[in-house]
Amino acid sequence: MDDRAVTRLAVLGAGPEAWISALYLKRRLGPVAPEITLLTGNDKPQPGALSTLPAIRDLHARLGLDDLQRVAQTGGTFKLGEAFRDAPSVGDAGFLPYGEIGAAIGPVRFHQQLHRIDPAAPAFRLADYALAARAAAEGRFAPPSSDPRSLLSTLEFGLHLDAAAYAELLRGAAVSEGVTALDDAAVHLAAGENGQIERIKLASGASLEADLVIDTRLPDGKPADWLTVPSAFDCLVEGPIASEDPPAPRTLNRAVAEGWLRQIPLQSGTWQQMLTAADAATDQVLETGFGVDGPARRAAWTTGRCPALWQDNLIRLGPAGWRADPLAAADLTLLGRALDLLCAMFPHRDEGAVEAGEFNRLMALEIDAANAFAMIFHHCQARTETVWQAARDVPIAEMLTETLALFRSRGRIGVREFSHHDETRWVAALLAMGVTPEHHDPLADSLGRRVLTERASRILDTVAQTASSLPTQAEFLSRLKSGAPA
Amino acid sequence: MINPKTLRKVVIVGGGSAGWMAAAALSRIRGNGVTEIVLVESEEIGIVGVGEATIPPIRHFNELLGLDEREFIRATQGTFKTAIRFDGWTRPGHSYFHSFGAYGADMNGVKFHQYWLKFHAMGKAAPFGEYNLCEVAAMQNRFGPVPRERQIPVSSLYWAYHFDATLYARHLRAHAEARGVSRIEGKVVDVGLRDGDGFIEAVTLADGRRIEGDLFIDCSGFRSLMLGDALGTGFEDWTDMLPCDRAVAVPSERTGELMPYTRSIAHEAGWQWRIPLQHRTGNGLVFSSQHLSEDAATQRLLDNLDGKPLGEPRVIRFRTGRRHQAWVKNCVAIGLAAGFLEPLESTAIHIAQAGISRLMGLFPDLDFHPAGIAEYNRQSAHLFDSIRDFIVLHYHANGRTGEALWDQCRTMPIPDSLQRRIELFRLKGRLFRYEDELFAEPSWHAVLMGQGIMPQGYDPLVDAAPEAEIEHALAQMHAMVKATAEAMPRHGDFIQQTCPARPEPASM
Repeated sequence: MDDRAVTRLAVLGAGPEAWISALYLKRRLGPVAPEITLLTGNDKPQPGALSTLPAIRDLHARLGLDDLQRVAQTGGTFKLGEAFRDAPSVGDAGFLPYGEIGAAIGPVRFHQQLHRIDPAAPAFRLADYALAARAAAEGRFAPPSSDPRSLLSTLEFGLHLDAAAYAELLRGAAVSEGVTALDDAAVHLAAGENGQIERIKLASGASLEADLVIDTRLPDGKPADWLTVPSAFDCLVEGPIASEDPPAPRTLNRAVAEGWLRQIPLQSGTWQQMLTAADAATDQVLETGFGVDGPARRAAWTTGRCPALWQDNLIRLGPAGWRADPLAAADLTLLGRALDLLCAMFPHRDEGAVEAGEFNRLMALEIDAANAFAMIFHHCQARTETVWQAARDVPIAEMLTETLALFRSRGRIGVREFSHHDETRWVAALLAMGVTPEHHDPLADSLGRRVLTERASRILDTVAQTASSLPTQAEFLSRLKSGAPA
Repeated sequence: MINPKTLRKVVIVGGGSAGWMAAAALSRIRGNGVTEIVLVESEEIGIVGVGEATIPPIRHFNELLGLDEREFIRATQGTFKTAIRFDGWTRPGHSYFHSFGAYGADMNGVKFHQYWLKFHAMGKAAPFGEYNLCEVAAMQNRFGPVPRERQIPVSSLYWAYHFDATLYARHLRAHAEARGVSRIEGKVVDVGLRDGDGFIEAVTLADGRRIEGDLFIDCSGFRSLMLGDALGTGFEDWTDMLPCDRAVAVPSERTGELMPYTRSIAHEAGWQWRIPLQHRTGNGLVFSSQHLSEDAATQRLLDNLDGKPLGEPRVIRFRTGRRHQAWVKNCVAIGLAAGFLEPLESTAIHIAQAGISRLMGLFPDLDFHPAGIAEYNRQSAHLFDSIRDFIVLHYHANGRTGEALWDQCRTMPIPDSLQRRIELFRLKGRLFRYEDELFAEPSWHAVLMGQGIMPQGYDPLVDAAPEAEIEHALAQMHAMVKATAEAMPRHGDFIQQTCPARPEPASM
């Protein structure tokens, strides 16, 4: 082996991000993987829940966690999309489904067909044509089929995870792959002459040598050098609430007078996050997080990222590197992307400045795109309360300004180098928030309205039939946990 | 009911390959029963058509139109193309191929070229190109689709064409006219702008006829008579990075065996193309007038032909760069009217076709919403800029010392985007393709290494695999590529058997 190879890697943190980083690198680097030591001592992960995008499954495949059984055993549930209530206005309901919606005809996208059939239909009810939305409404779930003839093959799903149980699952997997965990705290990162970290001084008095350090710990407060995304919401209050019974296979976002109430269903109960503005919410809301059971946790919230994730031989990932907008549900998929990139650029000792520059540039684009997507929900609403008006007036990313203009004119989404979501999901999110195009794509005009109407109604029937043939999520979970084949 | 804002008339000005490609593709819009499409062209205006080389995406465009491949080859004196050979770019006497398709197969999630870098340095791998099926076939002048049972998981055959662009335009004209596009013979002498918003209202022909329209497509070539002249759209000049500003072109008699690749031969003040067609060979010398006079360039071209010249050499003057916007108000420029990049990587036809596909995807109505126009221009600029970087790479990373043009290019400042790429590649052969970039990673690998930018190291993950295993895999890939290529027919025989051109019309 190359004598410049990285042989000792330290990961700082004890949350899911720390374990994912260690496990991912151990598995992916295989025989050339460095010795990996996790320092869990100075990180106290908070209880909570994670709501993830479907791309979590790619990450899990790389982690060797692709069987759903283990996920079920940690108290997690499945996520077919994001529901919105009382947004854009009180009384409205919208759904952002995962997976395909309807079917394109050549270059004519399905939402263009619906607009051609009836431009006045409220937001065209696009989600009605998505199996994910229908199944979620009925509380049903099954994993996608591998048979391309089945509508079930078009389904995608994310996960709702109990953070503590998930970290335990990851810990077990990482340790069995040979990752070492030390319950000791890093108190000082000692740099050598070239500015690179050489040694980590530990609380116990011992020290650990490292060629490369990955930090995943949540910084205290907001680091001064972070680039932040302007927002009307600056406060997150969270805690458990009484369970929906049974848990629904979707994340729910309720707009209330004070801000967003985000509910992530787990097997044992629901985790609620109240995203609000400290000066817009009553003390009671701030204390109780809009009615959580037990003590609510309240913290200042800022969406943002560290300008240089990778600096010399220190790489900041997860909470140490960025905080994505809660409505983006993107934290773990961003971590997966960062680890993919890190492996594609894995450095030697004492070098990596060129790689670091490219890594930082690409990750900045990824993180910004995820946040621009979430900005749809803050920006495209029509609520009248002061905090919502303020949310609407916050300057939005240029990319979103362009996307909105293009979509409003003809329902189109521009091809982008980094967009975090595919075209279908951008369309579905915009329509879920009531943003509608003025006209459809002229190519849709060459398709007959009657044919389109019949086709759409057949799709609706198939969606309904397929959805009703699925087990309820509760049935599916109990089948998984009893060890029966899914 | 049709959207009342649907365009009623689209006017295409210019009938070269760009104009007829646009007409053939847009004829589909007529399906709405409302939109009329006309193309105005003048037989007086010459067409730059001395043989055209293309890249593989042309096959998608032809498929979209429903063109039959063999019929198209027959109609255009076409041949197949799987690579470009660059001679003398890296240094005099050196040559390398930029071949289409993959080089070897990735293993364990690590790129093939990373393994190759390690094993080549150890003397345990063949030259890079010998793992690319297109290249091995090209070197032997072989071409022919690989039957399903002979396909290999290593590298597949990926091809484009050489053809006579004038005949391609004619072929597409028949296609477009059969689908209801009407052609108007005439020379545009005036472009009328609407009072108030300055949109194009009509074009006036030399005989006084006035052609009105809702959307105007400028396919007038270098003249850019609507986008540039009438609407005054500015030009971003790239001459400081790509100093060539002239080409002299002449066809010559076909000699020897039909090669399935384009050649690009570096000279001291430019480079010469060689494009093999069925009936003749297209030749041209692209040069910098600061470093070589037109007469000297013409003489140099004639001296370097491998067959007898057919006709007088023609000089074409150009300026490299692009219009700031390709779509302004109700005018979209397709082809040279939108911008020009020298044909070093055979991208001209592609740029036009990509513009047409983009226009179809963002087809406007009478509102001409600025968001659609902005998106079109953003994508168009991105395509131009990324191809520019790729072409600049060839000029910049040259080893021809002591020649003024080449010394200048080697030391000139280059775009940051390219600089970053070169630095990253030079260290460990890493390269990240931008998602919607035209040239894929294998193309960049081939040209970077071909031009002499050899990575100093390789990806540390390469060492994870046992050496004996990789050495064995490399040998197997090499053998598979070789055997598959050798089973192909000769390119000339394949054409003769499947798609020989019709006898040349007397007027040609």
